[in-house]
Formats: sequence, C-alpha cells, structure tokens
Amino acid sequence: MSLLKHVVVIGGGITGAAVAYDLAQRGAKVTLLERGSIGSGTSGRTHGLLHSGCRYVADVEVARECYSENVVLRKIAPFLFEKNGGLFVAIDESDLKYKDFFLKKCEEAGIPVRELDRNEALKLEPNLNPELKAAVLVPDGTFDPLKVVLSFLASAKLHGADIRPFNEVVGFRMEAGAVKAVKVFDKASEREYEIEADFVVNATGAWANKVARLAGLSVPVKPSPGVMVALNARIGHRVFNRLNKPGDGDIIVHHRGTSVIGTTSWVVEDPDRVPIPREHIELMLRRGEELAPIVSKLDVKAVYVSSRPLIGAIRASTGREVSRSFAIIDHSREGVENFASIIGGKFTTARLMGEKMADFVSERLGITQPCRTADTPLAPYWSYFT
Amino acid sequence: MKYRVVVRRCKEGWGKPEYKSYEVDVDPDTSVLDVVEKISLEMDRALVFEHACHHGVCGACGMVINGVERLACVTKIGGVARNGIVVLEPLRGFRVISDLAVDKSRMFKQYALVKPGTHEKVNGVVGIEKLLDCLECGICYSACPIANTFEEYLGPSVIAMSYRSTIDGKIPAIIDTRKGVWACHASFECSARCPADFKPGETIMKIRKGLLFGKLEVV
Amino acid sequence: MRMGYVIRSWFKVRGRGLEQVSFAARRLAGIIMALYFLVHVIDISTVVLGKEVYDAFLEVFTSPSAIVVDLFLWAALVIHGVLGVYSLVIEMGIMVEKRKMLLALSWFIIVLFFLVGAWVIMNVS
Repeated sequence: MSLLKHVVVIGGGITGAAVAYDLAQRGAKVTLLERGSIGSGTSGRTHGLLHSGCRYVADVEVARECYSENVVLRKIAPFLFEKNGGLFVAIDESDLKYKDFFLKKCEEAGIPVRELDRNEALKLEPNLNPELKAAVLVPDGTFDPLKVVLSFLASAKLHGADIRPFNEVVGFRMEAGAVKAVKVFDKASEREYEIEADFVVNATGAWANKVARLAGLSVPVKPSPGVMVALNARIGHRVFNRLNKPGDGDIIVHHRGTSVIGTTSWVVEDPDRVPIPREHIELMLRRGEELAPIVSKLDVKAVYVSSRPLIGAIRASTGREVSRSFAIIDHSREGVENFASIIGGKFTTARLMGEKMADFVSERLGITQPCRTADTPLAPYWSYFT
Repeated sequence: MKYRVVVRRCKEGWGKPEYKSYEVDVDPDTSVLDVVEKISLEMDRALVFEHACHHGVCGACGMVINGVERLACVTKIGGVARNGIVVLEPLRGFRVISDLAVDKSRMFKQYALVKPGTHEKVNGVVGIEKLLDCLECGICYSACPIANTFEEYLGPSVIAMSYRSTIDGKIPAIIDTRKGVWACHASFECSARCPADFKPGETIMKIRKGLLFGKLEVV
Repeated sequence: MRMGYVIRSWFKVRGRGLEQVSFAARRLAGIIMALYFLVHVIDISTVVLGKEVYDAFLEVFTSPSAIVVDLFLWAALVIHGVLGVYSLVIEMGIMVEKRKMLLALSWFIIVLFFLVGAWVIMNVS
C-alpha cells in the first residue's frame, strides 16, 4: 500500500492542470482524467488574453489579483506569452468620460499604465480607429491556451503525475460518506475501469455540476458561453480594449495570423449544447469595426463558443469563496468529505486557483509542503510529449 | 444538408481499423470539427479526436479529410464533401492513439535536439515580439514523403522553427546533417498543406543556400 | 517504417500540388530506370553464355514491339533527367520563390525532349 496520498483530478483544462501541477509538486500522487483531448473544453477556446487586470478595475481586489498573476506567469513561463501590452482606447464621449475613473483605479490597484496621445497610439497601432479620443497602454499579453495548459501538465508530469486524456468519469463508488473510487471509461480501449482515490478534485469548470451529480452532489455553476469571431488577418501587435465598463465585443486579441473579436455572455443549461446566435456574430463585427475600421474589410475565419464556469448563488453552508473571483466548494457539508469542486476564475488566475485548491487538499490529507509554483519555471510544453 | 461522414476508427487491441459511417444533417458552412464534435456527443461517445481552439491557431485538430491534410476547425464541410461524403482519417507519419488522435511525440521529441525558441522578431518594429506562426500541428509531417520514409528526420516544422526563432543568426549543427535539411527532396507538400503559411519548404531551401554559400553559421 | 507504407507515401498525388506530383514522377522514373539498368546488365552479360543465347536476347530487345519499351524508357530518362536538374537548382535554394514557373518550364522541356527523342527512335529503327 502506497504511503503517498492519491488525488484524482477531473478535468484537463487550465484549472485541472494547475491543481495537478501544484499537488504533484507537493508530493501527492496525482492522476488527471479528461474526457476529451487536453484543453478541449473551455480552456482551449479562451480568448488568449493575459489580463493586466485593468478590465476589472471597478473591483480593485480582483484587478490586483489578476495583475499579480500576470506578473507571476511572465516570470515562470516567458516563452508562452507575447508580452506586447495592450491599449484601452476611447472611441466616443462615454468612453472618454470613463478615462479618469479608469486611471485612478489602475493606480489604486497598483497596475502600471501610461496614457498615450492620439498620434502615439496610431503610430504604435495604425489600424486603430483614427477618431480615437484617448488611449492608455496597459501590461496585457497574449498566449496560445493549449500550449499553456500543456506546460502546466508537463510540469505536473515531471513530478510524477499521470495524465489521462480520453478517459471519461462515468460514476463514483461511495462508501461510508466518502468517495472510494472513480469509475472511468477509457475511450481508446472502450473499457470501463475503477481508480481508487484518497481525494477527488472536480475541476471541470462549466461541467462541474454534471460531474458532481454522478456522486449525488451539486455545484452552483452557471455555464456561461460567449461568442468569439476570428478574422482572416492579424491587425495589430497589442491587444485592443474598449475604454469603458466591461461589455460585449470590446476586446480584440491578435495572434498567429488572426485577430479575434470577443465576446458576449449568456447562461445555458447544458455546456454540451450551445447554439451560436447569429446576432452575436454581427454584434462582434460591428463593435470590432468601432475599434478598428479595417475589420469591415476582412472575412470571418471561424466563429466559436465555449462556456465560462460562472459562480451561481452559493449557499453559505456549501461554499467558500477563497477569492472574489473563484470558489472552492467543499462537499463535506453534503456528506462527502473527500470531494471538492472549484469554479469561477479566469485563465490568467489559474495558477492561483491551483494553489488555493492544493492548499485545501493538502490540509485535508496532511501534506505539509508549501506551494512553490509561483517561483518555479514552468516546463516547456513540448516536454509533455516526451 | 445531408452528409455521410466516414471515420477511420481504431481502438486498442484491434488488428485492423474499421471505417464507420455516420449520417448527419448540417449546414454546409459548418466546420468539419463541429460535425465531429456533434457526432461524438450525439452518436458515438467513444469517438476519440483532438481539438482545442476551434479557430486555427493551436494545431490540435489536424487530420486527413478526403485524402488531404487540413485543420478540421477551419474547413467547411460543404467545401470538401464529394457527393455528400467526407472521409476522415488521422494524420500519417504518427502512431495512432485511437480513431482520429495521433501521438505527436515523434515530432516534439526533436525539439530537444534543436531547442527552438517560441518567438521571432517582427520585421522593422522594435520592442515587439511575436509567437512563431507555426501551429505545431504536424500536418507537414503527414504530407511529407520523406517524413513518412524515415522516423529520424527532424521534420519541416522543427527545422523552420529553429531557423525563424534564432536570436544570433546561427542554427544548431544537427540541421546541417542528413536528418536535417539534407533529407528534403523538394516535394513542397509541407508548404502546400501548411494551414499557417509558415513556408517550411522554402525555409529549408533557404537554409541549404545559406549553408552552401557560407552565409549561415552553425553552432 | 513498413516498406509498403513508405513507398505509398512517395506516390500520394490525389489532391496534391505540382511539386509533389513531379517528385512522384521523378522517383517513379528513377525506379524504372534502376530496374531497367538491372535488366540491361543481365541481358548484356548473357554474352558469357555464348553467341546463340546473346543473339536470342538481342532479337527480343530489337524487335518492333520493343520500340514501345524504348519510348517508355526514353520518357523515364527525360523525366528523371530534367526534373533532376530542376530539383538540383531548387535544392540549392536558388529560384525557390519562382519554382512554379521553373517547374512549368521543366515539364515543357520534358514534353519537347520526349517528342524529339520519340521521333528519332521511331524513324531510325
């Protein structure tokens, strides 16, 4: 019998990867189960924006948390990011009125920003709307989400984690108020098998409730999709943001030969059934054109959608918000003591989510190693395959 | 519109693959990937395939569609169907994990030999970095007759990435060997199939010219 | 890698570009010529088996139906030779951006040389 504590992490997106990495680094035996390929859920279809936090300045704590993780990620994996910064651009009067509040809040949150005059902004990004009224340079960045997830998993593998894509959780074997084993269907062999666990982490994001229900539990997650429209050309070096309160279609992220306009937000019942509303596509193109008129001359390369794991109403007895932006659901209040779910959050803060969940699990399992993920360089994503 | 999607399925322990047909009724503008995802959710939960970004930047969904390598997420089913039939097979040149998913470690193993960077400079612009356009999808290996001939060939994307990401203008010595640029025989299918227009074939020839005429140094 | 799989990968031409088709043509022509060379060495070496055997073999190889074979071999030679020069140039990194034009010119020369040679073969025999 192994002395190592065995944790099963369900979900091969950025949250699952960060949790698996942190726990494996602290010495736990980790098995990660993902029903599809790595990043095939919400994480792969993220906008790819390394948030400076400026978008959330209305809530200074959230903004500060975002920026702090932004800095950590740049430090531990500079090779994953295009660190060119971003611009918040005022197009109309309403935007302009927001500027002072924006600058003040950025300073409060400790995010280094710099206001540019119109000519400077247009020189840096000639495709911006020439009618722009103000521009602020912020420390945004961009990334390829799949490679970031793979880097976290590569680091987890280095510490002995067993990563299993195409393995779908189909049930749980419960015994006396605890999960004894996870029932898994291996799609590559079409075989069902069981894997014993000391602790189960449900990191399936928008699918968290679907998975929890297999154990008779519930997670207050609201799958919330948003439409992204990718164009057939790249129109800038730095991220284009609309200088105003967060709204629909107010960000354009550029990478690898394309610029992606996003996004919208609505709630669905089932994250596996999300139809794409035509009006959202048209809205994205209109809003994109306001930021950069050249959008009207380009074609749409692809339209895609995936669901954010928004936190629904949390009953005081089931949830604990370890941060204003994400929540760990401790299911011992529902009678299962070794099962926890994690929802909410942003891709940019995933490492922190991994840290908090690993802290929680470590406390339960008596693991005493502290978190070192903020100071350890991430393994390169290609080492996941070797 | 009605389409018949024929997928090469292969599970662990099977001696031979089987070609299974699925009938779907979708808009001709639907991407092949969306169709495969629909099939996996509604008709065949055991169908194995890879995907992530759904807009042609991550390289996960490369597969052979009606005999030709493409990214399934940016390929419209109406544009490739022949008489309403679309045949899907996994990329060639890689070991098949199951169905449409392949093990790309054959390609990623080569990275340790050349240690490519992930960025390149942007022409004429100071202080801006760019992630390499290469999606690392493996389509160039599937299309290349040489990559399908010998396993040790570094491969079009790895060679091109190494050249494009060099900081001091020099390239690793292994590129100047028989498993590097000198294995290439000008089929140019890599560049023809590349979904990112990364031009690996042209880059290989450019390296050869540089090596032959003493303009390119190895490290 | 399995031999059958490898060889089939050289000759994938459906839906492929002209460069790949030319690569396949050049390789096929090269294989044909190599096989012919083998056959030729064997038939020439029959001279050690005596004049009758040698003459018998030569009868076969100079008969009228052999002209078809000759044309076939001439085609292989021209294809392999001209495309060989094309790939020599391209594989030194020269004219790579203009390769489509160079390739079109090469095929034009192939057709031209073949027709000239075919005329010679059919009229001189």
